[in-house]
Amino acid sequence: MSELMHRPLSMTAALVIVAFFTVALFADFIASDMPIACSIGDRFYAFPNIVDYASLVDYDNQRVVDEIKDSGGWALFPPVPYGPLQSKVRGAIQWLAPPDLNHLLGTDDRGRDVLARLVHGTRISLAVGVVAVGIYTAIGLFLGALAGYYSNGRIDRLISRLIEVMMSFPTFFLILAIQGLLTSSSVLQLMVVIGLTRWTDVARLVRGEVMRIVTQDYITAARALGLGHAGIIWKHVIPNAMGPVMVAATFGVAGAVIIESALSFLGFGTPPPTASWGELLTQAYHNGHPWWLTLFPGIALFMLVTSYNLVGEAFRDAVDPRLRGRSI
Amino acid sequence: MKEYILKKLWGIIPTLFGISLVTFAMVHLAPGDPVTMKMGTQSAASAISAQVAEDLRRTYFLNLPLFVNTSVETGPETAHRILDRLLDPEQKPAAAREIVVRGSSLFPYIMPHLDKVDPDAARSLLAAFDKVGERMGLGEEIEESVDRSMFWHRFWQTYRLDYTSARASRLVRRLAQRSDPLVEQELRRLDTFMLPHLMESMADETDPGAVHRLSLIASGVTGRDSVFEQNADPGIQRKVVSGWKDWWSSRYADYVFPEGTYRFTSVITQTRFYKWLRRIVTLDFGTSLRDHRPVVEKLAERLPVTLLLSFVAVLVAWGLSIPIGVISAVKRGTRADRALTVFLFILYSLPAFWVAMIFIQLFCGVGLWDIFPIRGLSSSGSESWPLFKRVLDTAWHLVLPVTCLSYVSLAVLSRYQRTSMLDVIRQGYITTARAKGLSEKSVIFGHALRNALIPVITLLGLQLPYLIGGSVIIESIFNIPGMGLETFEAIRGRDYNWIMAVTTITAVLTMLGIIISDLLYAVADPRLEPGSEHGREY
Repeated sequence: MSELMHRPLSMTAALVIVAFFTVALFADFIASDMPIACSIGDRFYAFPNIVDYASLVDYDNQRVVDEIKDSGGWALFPPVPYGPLQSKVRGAIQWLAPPDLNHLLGTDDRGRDVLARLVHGTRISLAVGVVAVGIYTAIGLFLGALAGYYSNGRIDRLISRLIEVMMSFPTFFLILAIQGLLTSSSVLQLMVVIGLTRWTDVARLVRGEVMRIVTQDYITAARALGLGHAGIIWKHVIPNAMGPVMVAATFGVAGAVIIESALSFLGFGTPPPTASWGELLTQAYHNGHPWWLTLFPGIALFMLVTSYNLVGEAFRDAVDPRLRGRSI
Repeated sequence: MKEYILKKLWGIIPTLFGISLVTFAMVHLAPGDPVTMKMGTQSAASAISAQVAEDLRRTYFLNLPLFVNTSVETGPETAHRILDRLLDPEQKPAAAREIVVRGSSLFPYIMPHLDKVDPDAARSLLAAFDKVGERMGLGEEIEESVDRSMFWHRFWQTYRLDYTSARASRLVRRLAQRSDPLVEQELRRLDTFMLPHLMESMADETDPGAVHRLSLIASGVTGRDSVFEQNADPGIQRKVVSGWKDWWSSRYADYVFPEGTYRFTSVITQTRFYKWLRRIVTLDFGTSLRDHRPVVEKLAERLPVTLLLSFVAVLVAWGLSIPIGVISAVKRGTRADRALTVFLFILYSLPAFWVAMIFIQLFCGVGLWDIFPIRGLSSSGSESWPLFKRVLDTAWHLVLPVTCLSYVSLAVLSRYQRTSMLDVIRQGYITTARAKGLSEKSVIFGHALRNALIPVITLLGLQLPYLIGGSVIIESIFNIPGMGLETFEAIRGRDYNWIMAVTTITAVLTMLGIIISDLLYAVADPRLEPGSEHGREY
């Protein structure tokens, strides 16, 4: 962490990531067609933007405003008073409207507010990035540690062969094919597919790292103290191999975010109507390239990816100063 | 060293096997088999008949077990089973159908039982035989005969010796050479017995007339309606022949009974996985389900486009990254180096498909300027242009896609080149060269660069997966008719044969790329210990 402090750019990047997480977490408080709190007539509603009230079914921002006009009351709307799935905005549908004061970033081909969709799409990008990388890091750690600890044994040969086979598939291509062949589609499934196909780099990294660690004196000492294999791997080997793994995972999130958006762009990622950045770019592609649909999701994507890469770079320098400035 | 290389090469075989296993699992473990999927996508609640569904199932060998087939039947066993099923009123129609399908190939095993079967079963058996007989051109004789059982008995007594491989193969060859009604009649008489020879002959046949005659006979015998009309064009001829090839590979177990060692090997060979493995080894990936053309033929058409794109992209990435890497290494720490670093970092973080869209926005006439074409690899009407102009036209079309495809590689390789150059410059022999009084230029280009290039060149093979993955997106965006675009369409249309073929081929190419790069590295850097990892970073 102290490494981050000395690098203003990386520090900024870390803050950008925190900001993205905040946006994802509070998406419903930033963009929603229901108010954060309101009082219609003589009834008070707390957080109708995240709580479903039976008496507010079929309400949208327009209806809330109308009802308040009729029966009195007040409403506190989020800064972006539109939901990600809401087509009818203030009574009228505006398809592909360029940015104006009503819609700061314009509307998409179904009249939905682009800013609202961007805000909610942040959730998908971050969730897929973090969870998919979590899955494949766990797999890679497990297999890599096994192979490295029992290096040149039968287990190692088997796992190394498995790594070699999986490495032979161009991952994006494989993920695309699997997504296409599966009948259903969900965000969770997308995470699992990315997780199951991209673990080879982590496994190779961990294997090499563990092979190095196992020859260290403290492992011999642990063995002399009578610690079993599982204990040694769990207590001594893996914690010491974690540094490079965290570096790879940070870069990995950037990669997974790009993969998610690229898959959604091709129509095999996040299933509609869920908002995602890649899906917004698809709309731009199929609707004559309106600039606001092309530009804004791309900028969000670029900012998130760059930030993760910058933080990854800082992490790597902190973990292994020898590698400083080694690759990107 | 030699041991290391041999070990690497030997490793190809198990890896290939693993690749085939993964692609196989991908298709067969996905929920829902290809047939139900195919029917699910059809409108109006599966208007497909049971027959069509069965045909489709056979195309994917879904009637076979996955890895081990424990129910391989010899001829006599099949005959017994059919006769048993004829006794069961429920299974009778299916058994009768099977007799008609199998036709004369079943004769040697079922004829000896003709007198012994139960009268009720015999009736259905003979009714089925009637249909076979009609197909064989025996319709009238059967009509005239008093006792059909007697008729078939006598028929088999008389003509049994005609049913030999040698005769079947001779007749087929003669028909392939020239049209002859007598030979045709004889072949029809042999019925399904001669199918193996007919199929073998048709697979190698190039003469349109012969294909016409052979497919006509095959159609008559099997009831599969696919005849090549003599005057149709060669594309259709290939389509018909490969259609029959596919059909035969999924059906021959109906007509050829396992005997001798074949019976034991059938336990393995009559399985889905073996059939799939065989396709990989023989590079026969069947026909594309979208336009029924052979996958290999389509690949031959699409792959060069993607290769051209990738080749140019690699060339551009390499050509630019080496000087960029050298400059930033030589001028390390300066403002120029830092500016390059930031620029490359930004390039690395830009998603290619977004860059492609920005390019379209800027240069393709939808936004600012109209400089580059938005789609394809050549302008319409360019076929009649002179060669030079056509090359120029294609180059013009390539600018944007190649830029999108190459810049990530460019960023990565430049950094590698820089690191590698820095490593070399710190070496003792560079200091020696400087101490000798050589000019800086000759130190950098004569001594340093030459050695610094080695690790970067070995990375060549590792660029392949990115290029392949990228080609799907870039070709889709710019509508370039290469393998990537076709794959994208194939995935949307659930063209299983194409997807399996391309997945396998790209995996094999990538594997070869990795092995070549490992070997190059081992050759270039003898310090490498056999089997150790050499810190490749992505």
